[in-house]
Amino acid sequence: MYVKGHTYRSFLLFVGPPLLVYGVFCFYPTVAGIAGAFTEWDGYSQSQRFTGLANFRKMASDDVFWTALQNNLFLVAVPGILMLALGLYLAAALRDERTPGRSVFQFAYLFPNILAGVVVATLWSFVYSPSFGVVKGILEAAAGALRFAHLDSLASCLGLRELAGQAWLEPQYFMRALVPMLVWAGAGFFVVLFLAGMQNIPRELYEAARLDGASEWQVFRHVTWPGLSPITVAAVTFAIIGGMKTFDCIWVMTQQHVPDRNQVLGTYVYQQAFAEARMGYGTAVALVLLVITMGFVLLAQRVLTREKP
Amino acid sequence: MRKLLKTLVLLSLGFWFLLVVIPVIWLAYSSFKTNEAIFADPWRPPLLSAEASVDNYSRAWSKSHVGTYFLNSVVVVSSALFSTLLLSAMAAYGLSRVRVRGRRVIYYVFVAGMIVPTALTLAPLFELLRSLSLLNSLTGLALVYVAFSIPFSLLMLYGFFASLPEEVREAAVVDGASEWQTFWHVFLPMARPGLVTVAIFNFLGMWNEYLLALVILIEPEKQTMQLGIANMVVALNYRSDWGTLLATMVLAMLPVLLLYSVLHKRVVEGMIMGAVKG
Repeated sequence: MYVKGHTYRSFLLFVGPPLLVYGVFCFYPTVAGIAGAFTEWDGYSQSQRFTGLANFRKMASDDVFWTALQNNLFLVAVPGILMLALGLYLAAALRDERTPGRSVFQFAYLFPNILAGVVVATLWSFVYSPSFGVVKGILEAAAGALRFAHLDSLASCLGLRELAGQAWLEPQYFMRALVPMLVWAGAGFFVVLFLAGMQNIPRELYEAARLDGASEWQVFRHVTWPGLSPITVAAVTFAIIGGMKTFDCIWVMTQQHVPDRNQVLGTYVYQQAFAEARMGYGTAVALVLLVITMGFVLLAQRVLTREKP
Repeated sequence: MRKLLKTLVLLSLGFWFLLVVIPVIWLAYSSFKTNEAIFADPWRPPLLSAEASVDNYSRAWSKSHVGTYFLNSVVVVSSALFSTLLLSAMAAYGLSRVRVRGRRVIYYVFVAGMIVPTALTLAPLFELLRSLSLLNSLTGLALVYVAFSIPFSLLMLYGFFASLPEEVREAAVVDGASEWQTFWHVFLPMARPGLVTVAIFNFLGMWNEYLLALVILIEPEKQTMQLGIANMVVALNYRSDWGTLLATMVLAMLPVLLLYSVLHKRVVEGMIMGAVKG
């Protein structure tokens, strides 16, 4: 039925234009990036010199690189685990379709997720701003409440009043100050993801557990959790990638001048490649970022799929 | 006991709801307050009509380039979105329906693009766009958005097209339709639900994108909403015009909020598919 030449022509008609755009503006820059990681290249002059592993040797003794990597690990671990735990908890609480306000909760929880990172970061700059003092107000209120309950010593033990006076976005507190913001912005996605996973668990399993007189916790432990394992893999993968590629919020909250101790690999790539005109070195950092991210994802997937009950 | 536990769980749900909603509501009403009112009492809603005004919005739109930023974002996102859908659907159709040797390989070359991190491509993209005179141009940014959106969109639509029965295509060909007509009049309409999901997913990504725009767009009159907001945050250091910034943030989230309110189910669907397949 088909004439060969005709088939190739229509294949080219459909696949040619997308392949051209993708090839030039995504595939080529990727290949050039991998190659560029082994060169020295300032982005202004035409010279791009092959330097072998020099960029990677330099990285090994670059303190800022290690700080940035540590900060990325912090962002994967702390907000990541909090988001997963909170998402799982909220999803489990919303699983029952008779929960009052279920659809309103679902609608609201996901909302911060669809906001731009820039908008979220700006909003939270207000939260931490000393002149607005949202955090300050909350901490002072907490100290006041403790005094009211005659727990003054607890308040001073926690150092609430001193904390209330802090500028939270100063470099020494900055990374920790990101945690509430990232959890606020990201938890809803995990709620949605886990809820979708729970909907795929057969209802009969829940009914059977109920008939056997299982407690809420036992139902969660023996029905919900094992049934969620494919979704858990996706969620953990997502948390790892999210923590590793953080850029927008740090860039905006440090007002586009990231102090060394607050760098993450994403901001460090940009700073090296564009502010310092070290495109080869910056791209080498990006390559390392990619390799580490893939390594973590593969490791997590392997661990999570092995511990099947 | 069980009852108490249920109540506590409900309370915690309500608590998180308030935590999520309060900052957004605060942002919405504060954007109508004057700078003096914001500083005098940042919490107080503008209760009297005399306290509320749209001054922040008109000042943002006309004096702070926000009108330009907004239109730039609209131009980039709408053209990139349209091109992404068209090109991805074409590729999905060609790869799933036109049987030639080597199409599997091409499919994998496309899909491999999903794991490419933006950071790795920044420097080569900058050089490439400069040599093509597409640096500092909305066209350049839109082309990059399209290229980076094709892999995932193609993957989604490929699944869709592959699930449609081959008889439909044969019937159209027997009726004398050309390959393109079959694609345009038969397959695209059938793939509509998939196209909507892919469109929503890409819209959110493109409207909110910051890093690529930061590298590609340099002059203020070319910048998008996200770049505008980030620069206004820096500008707060020497001119504390909070009101304008708050109004700009509301404008930046309005399209996303509208889409989310109208198509909440589809947004959720798109995000889940993005996470599970991506």
